[in-house]
Amino acid sequence: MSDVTTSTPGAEAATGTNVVLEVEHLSKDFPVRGGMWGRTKGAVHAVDDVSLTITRGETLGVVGESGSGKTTLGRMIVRAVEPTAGTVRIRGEGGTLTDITAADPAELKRARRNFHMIFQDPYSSLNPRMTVEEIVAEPLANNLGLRGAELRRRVIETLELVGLGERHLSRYPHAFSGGQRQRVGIARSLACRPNLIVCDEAVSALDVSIQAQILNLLKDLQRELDLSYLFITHDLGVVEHLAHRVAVMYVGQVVELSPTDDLFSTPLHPYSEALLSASPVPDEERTRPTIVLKGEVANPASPPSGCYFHPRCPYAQPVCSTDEPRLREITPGRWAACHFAGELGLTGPVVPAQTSPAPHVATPARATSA
Amino acid sequence: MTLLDLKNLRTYFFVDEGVVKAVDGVDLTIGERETVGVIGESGCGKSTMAHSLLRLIQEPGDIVDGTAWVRLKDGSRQDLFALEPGSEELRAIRGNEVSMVFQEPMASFSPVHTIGSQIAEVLQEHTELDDDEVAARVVDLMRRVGISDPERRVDQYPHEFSGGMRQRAMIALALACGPALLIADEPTTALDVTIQAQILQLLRDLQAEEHMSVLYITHNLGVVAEHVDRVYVMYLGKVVESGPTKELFANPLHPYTRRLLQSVPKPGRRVERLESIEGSVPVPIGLAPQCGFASRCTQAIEGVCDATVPAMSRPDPHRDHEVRCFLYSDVTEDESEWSHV
Repeated sequence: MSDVTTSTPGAEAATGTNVVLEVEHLSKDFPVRGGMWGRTKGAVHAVDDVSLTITRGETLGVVGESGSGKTTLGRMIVRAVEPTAGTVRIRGEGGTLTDITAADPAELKRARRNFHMIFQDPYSSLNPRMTVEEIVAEPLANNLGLRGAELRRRVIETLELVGLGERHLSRYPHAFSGGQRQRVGIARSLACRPNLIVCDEAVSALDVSIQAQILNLLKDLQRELDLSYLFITHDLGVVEHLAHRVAVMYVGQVVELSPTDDLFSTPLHPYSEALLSASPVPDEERTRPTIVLKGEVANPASPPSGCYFHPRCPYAQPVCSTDEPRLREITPGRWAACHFAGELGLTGPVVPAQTSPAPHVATPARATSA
Repeated sequence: MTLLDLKNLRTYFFVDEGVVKAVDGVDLTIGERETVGVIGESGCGKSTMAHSLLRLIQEPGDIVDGTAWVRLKDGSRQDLFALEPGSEELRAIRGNEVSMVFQEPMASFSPVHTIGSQIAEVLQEHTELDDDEVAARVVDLMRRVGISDPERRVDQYPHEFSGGMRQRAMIALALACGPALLIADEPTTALDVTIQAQILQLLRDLQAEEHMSVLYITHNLGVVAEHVDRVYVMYLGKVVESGPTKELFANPLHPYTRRLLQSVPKPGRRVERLESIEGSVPVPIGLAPQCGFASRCTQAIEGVCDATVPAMSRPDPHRDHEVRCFLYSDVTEDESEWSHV
């Protein structure tokens, strides 16, 4: 473990065959145009050298604020956005990892059955002119080439997985409530039985009581189908409920990658601590004061020198404004990009179960206490 | 002392499909310097209630019943619903005595006027200050809400402000005339959590300095739990439970409130499965006179909850904690006057 900067965070927890998603040094620059002829003046580093892995049956939460690059990251993984640099490998048939970023159109089309995306807004992500049957059948026909009775059987089977059924086949999206519409969106993404589902704020537009239904459904499906989720959200409560590990993003970079319980009890990065502290808790008694950060999220087109977080960081030292910290492994399985990670004694909203140091989480399954 | 006393507010929308009873008999009081929260999910009527207070309801909506007595700065009392929409008296109250902060600050500002000129407009409307005094006060207001370099930023347009800064400008505009009551309708819903924390802190500080009352309208249970003194829970156009925040969160009485609180994932209280409320909120058109939650309630009593409307009751006479549920009282609400509408 001498050269920690070149290994992939999380990879040590996953032994080869179990890996479903492997992202290495993924970056996306968006050009900034200006001037009279729309010349490129510079670039926004929306995603800046992100590496991570997800194993079979695991949920990796990605949290961050607007502009942190979490949505762009998700879109590059399903290749809805072309990366500027880096690779994305997704597990396909026979357990082989296909490089999505280098795949030619035919390969990409074949690989597409293995991953899918669920979007935030169930109102705008479903075609209002298609029936539920057509919506769910489309990926099956396109990616698996199913037709006729076989196609219909698979559509019904998939709808039943999400709590809908044959009676909904001929209905249009507008006839459904928000929660049911999101179920249709989930059915569509499940139709080809992918290994990986990228959920981009999949429950953010829903009321809490409906959100709970969908979160329970996603958990059930994960158990039944051995699914892996990349769960992008700004809602830390949702992440704690669903994710096994969490990547915290700030201005295009992963600043911390930790098992969920460790992140919520002993965060390693000051931004993680502030983010956790700022999230209001619906409880009768709040014991910890809120850390109110000064300033706003840095502009990714002209980020500050050194650590991007240093202008807002309550623990910043002179070195933070000059040297950019690399993401490094602080304790086994826990990564942070902070010069002082592990030395600051940061605390999260959850009191650690034991006083002993956080155990090394070798498998994605987190301890679920009874 | 009571600042606002809202009684029996009914705001109905007369659409082709029938009458939508968006707000259907809401009572609510706000004391001086008190922070009150109204929580509820989409369609419960919380925003319609807030908009009704400022008479911002437009066709096909109408306030069909209710009174809203508010104590004015000069000590007199006025029923907001007795004033004509667009009248001089109403304009004198809006922005001056009662102000509102909206969810989407981009939609609340005119894009073609500078931020400074839009704040100045409120002062010109409601005060006797001359132009120089107005300009100085605008800069002062912007500084107080935490906008750095206000002398330069007064001349900028809304698109040049970030979301958090725009919401600060919106608060400056709302506070320009020192209102006694600030209504904040989802003030931080469009903002990131670290910015939300800044704005909530700012509102709390300003409230203490200005001695004003704040009415928060929000779906965010966490914001309510941490920032308000007393809370009202709305469901399907009615208040179903109200009480001091700590008491209500520690000891929720209404089955809806209980399930709602259990359906939010809470850090450190992880459960394998979240409680969810089956079904969805009914469309408030042509509803039978019954408890609005009866169709989704696991504790509904057949022949009671689906046959009559429960009234607000106080299970413990020593506590200011009220609930609209037949599990606690068999007193019914007389809705006969409104059930045929």
